[in-house]
Amino acid sequence: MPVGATRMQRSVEAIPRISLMLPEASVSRHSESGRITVDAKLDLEVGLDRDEPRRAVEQFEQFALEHDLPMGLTFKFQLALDELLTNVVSYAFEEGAAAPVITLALHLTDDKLEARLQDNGRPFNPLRDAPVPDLDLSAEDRRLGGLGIHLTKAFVHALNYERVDGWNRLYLVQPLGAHQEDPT
Amino acid sequence: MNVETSYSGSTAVAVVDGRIDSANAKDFDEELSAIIDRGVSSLVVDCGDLNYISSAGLRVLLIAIRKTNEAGGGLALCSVPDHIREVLEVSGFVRLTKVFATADEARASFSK
Repeated sequence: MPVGATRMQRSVEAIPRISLMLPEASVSRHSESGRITVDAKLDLEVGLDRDEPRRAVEQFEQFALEHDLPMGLTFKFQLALDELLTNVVSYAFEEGAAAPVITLALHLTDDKLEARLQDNGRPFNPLRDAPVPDLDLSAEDRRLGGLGIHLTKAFVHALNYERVDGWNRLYLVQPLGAHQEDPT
Repeated sequence: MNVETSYSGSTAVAVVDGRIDSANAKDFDEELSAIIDRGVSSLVVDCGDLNYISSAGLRVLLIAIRKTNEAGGGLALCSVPDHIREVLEVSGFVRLTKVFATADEARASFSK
């Protein structure tokens, strides 16, 4: 029936389009006595693939842009997440591991940016188990790897590890005041 | 990431743009290896349009530094953005390679 068809089309069009917000992101901003409060979250699942760290950190970058985080802080945090995720994707799981799970949870509040990265791979504490590179060696004598964790430690204010119930958990914390140009 | 290279004898300037991370470090390695395999011993990597490099990219640079050193030349960087420079400083790469303001200065350093 032509009339029914038209009505059906209309009702389909009336369904709101999928919002362009980031997946599983939640944001609340409200003003209390003139002060803007930020409480934003982004939860991501990361697949076991070489391209996945990039996909995840690009979503973080978008999240950072939306919340006007300073570019320097965004770059350093992005690099840290990239290095840690790349380690997990490359080394945490045996080939054909059953049900590998890697998740990244970001939480932005007024004064800090936090991330929790967890995976159910083999126990690995990058703060303790990663070799410390000798930066004084010549190009010929240097190890080819090992710089990722070094950069991560240098670029993130606080980094903690725990092993809980078969999960590696890394916590990153970046105070938002730490990168302001004006020390006052 | 793209690499555009201009050659002048055994010296080359490779202009790298975009992003180098674990997803494409292998491609970057192939690009630099192909340049060196053409007989280039002095390689300038122009980072003016490079906006991101992770340790996977540094690893490729280290390999290229070794190869060009071995060939009797070397590798120099130029036009490095501040945030990339910080990565080079923290990772100690400023001790492994010279960093110049412009490609011309970097190229000139090899002819001395």
